[in-house]
Amino acid sequence: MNLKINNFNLLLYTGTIMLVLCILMLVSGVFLAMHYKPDFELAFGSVSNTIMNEVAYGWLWRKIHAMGSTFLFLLLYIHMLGMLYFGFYKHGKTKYWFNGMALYFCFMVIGFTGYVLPMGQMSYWAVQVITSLLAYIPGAGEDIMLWVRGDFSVSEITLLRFYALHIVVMPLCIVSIVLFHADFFKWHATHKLSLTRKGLHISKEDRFSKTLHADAKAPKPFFSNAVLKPLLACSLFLALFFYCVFFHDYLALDALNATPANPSDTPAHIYPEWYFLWMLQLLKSFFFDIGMIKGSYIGMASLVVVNGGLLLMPLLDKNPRRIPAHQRPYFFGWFWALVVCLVALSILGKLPSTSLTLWMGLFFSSVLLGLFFVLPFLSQKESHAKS
Amino acid sequence: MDRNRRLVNYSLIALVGTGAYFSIDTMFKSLEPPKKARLDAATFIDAESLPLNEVSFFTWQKKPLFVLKKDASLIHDAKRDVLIGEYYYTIMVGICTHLGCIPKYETPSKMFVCPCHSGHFDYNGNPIKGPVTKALLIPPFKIQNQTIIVGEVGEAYLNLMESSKA
Amino acid sequence: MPNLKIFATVVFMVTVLVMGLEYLPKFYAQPTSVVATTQTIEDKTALESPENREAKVLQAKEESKQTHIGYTVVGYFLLLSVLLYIKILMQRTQRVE
Repeated sequence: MNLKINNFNLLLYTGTIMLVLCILMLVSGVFLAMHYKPDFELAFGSVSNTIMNEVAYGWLWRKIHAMGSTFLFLLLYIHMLGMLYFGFYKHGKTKYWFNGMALYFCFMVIGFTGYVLPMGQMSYWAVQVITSLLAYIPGAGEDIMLWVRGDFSVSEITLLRFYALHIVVMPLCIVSIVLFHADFFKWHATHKLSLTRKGLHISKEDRFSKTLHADAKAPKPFFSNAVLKPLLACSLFLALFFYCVFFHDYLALDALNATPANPSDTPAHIYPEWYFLWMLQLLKSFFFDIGMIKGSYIGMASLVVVNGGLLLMPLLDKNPRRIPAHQRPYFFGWFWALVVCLVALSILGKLPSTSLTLWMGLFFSSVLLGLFFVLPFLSQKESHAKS
Repeated sequence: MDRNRRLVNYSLIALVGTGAYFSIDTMFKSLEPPKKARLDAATFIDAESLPLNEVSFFTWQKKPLFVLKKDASLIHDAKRDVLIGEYYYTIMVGICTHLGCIPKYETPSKMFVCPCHSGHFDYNGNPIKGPVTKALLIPPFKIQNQTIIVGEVGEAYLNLMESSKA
Repeated sequence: MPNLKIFATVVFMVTVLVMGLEYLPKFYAQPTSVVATTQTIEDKTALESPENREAKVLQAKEESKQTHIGYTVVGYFLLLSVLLYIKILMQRTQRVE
């Protein structure tokens, strides 16, 4: 008996699992929102005492919500890098890539705004530092910073508006963009399964007959492939997920965030959640000035370049063939350089600054930056090499 | 093969069903008021400091509380009073048993009069006149030395409940 | 077996990430930890008081309850996965009819 399942690949199911995680986040978020107090003084107590100790299963909702965000971003990165590897941003799929990048930015915003809410030391200072960065945007930087914060420093006004963003605006954006991203509108418009639509009805014998549609590929049965296999993937994932929720919660709940926020006491070492670490390191890396341009400006520009480069992949990759990276030697090298840089920068972002980490950070950041400038030329060369 | 398939299908349904049941149950438990201690938030009343033959006003779980401390000059109702030290105390929840308004205590006549439909209770909380038929509710309480803890169940309370049923 | 290779690569990368983010920072000693330990030593007398002992017993009970729930939930999803796997296999042999 054949014990193998066809096409049971992690990359195929990242989307479904992310959908399940989003639902989990929504549900756990609702129960958290019932007890959370979005007040500058009361927020920390409402989370660390009321929700964790007094509400029945409050600890479970909080841990699910924290761990859910970690896994969501992990799967997001796997998904995005997988799409990069297989060229699923090229012709025919470009709109899904741009759509997906919009989702990526939405998730970054919702992750960032959510992290502020428990009002721990790390929450407060992460927001303070990142919103201060906005002031460096040339031109209207200071105004933008005031507009985001709502106040001259991070205060209860900032907390309230981040709360509104986190529980209303971003979920609505994400739901609507996901509907498009998962092809729901296209499916609804073209699918035969509808009370009003009388489409072609293929009988079961014809569907599974090997002779009737010998010219076309035999359509796979919906029930097993599109329902049971994703369910199996989700079930296996949820086993891993809840294992981490119950037994390894320190992966998502940072110990330094267990102290209440103190606006007059900056901790020695501030860092955001792990999924933002590579961006933080990118900002920190350029610790010297090049001529007239300050190092910090280069850091911020590199952040824009990398995110913009990812967004504009369909334009940067000049090779029109949608083939996986292991069939494109140059792109293969490019891809793994990208992954190694991202992982290295994430790890470096968490380590305290020593001269070694500074130089390593500079090296990996420059490579990452260079990758996006090199790609058009690399892919051009590659597409001409293959004839 | 059919029997095996049926077994797998039924066990899947059973498993998913139990999973759904426990998830929904967890969600409903989270909706309950947090922490038993906060739910049974007790009100502590020092019996010694209460004025004699007067009704004192407190709150318990956001409801009004009437406490009457009396000596021999007032009628003793064995089914509603508790003895602490030398005096008898009647502890009542100040919500009219008719439709839930808060009765006001009239000191000259020593009666609780409900402003909504003119229900009258005597100073022990028993119904006298008007649309009221049930006595004012006695909340769960516990006596600890000279302190009345309203919200926790004590022996005296259980005795009163038994005697009122008899 | 590309599926397995992809899975193995992803697991490897995630392991490297977790190792780097959780264990590597521990090699960098934090100067603030010294202050934290002296504070706890001073407070030891307060820690032994009856309320704290009761609180610790309650906390231990709560933690064991949480661990118990954890085992149940993880075991539930593993069981569900096994059943779904069997169902997929059985569904596959069914449709040849």
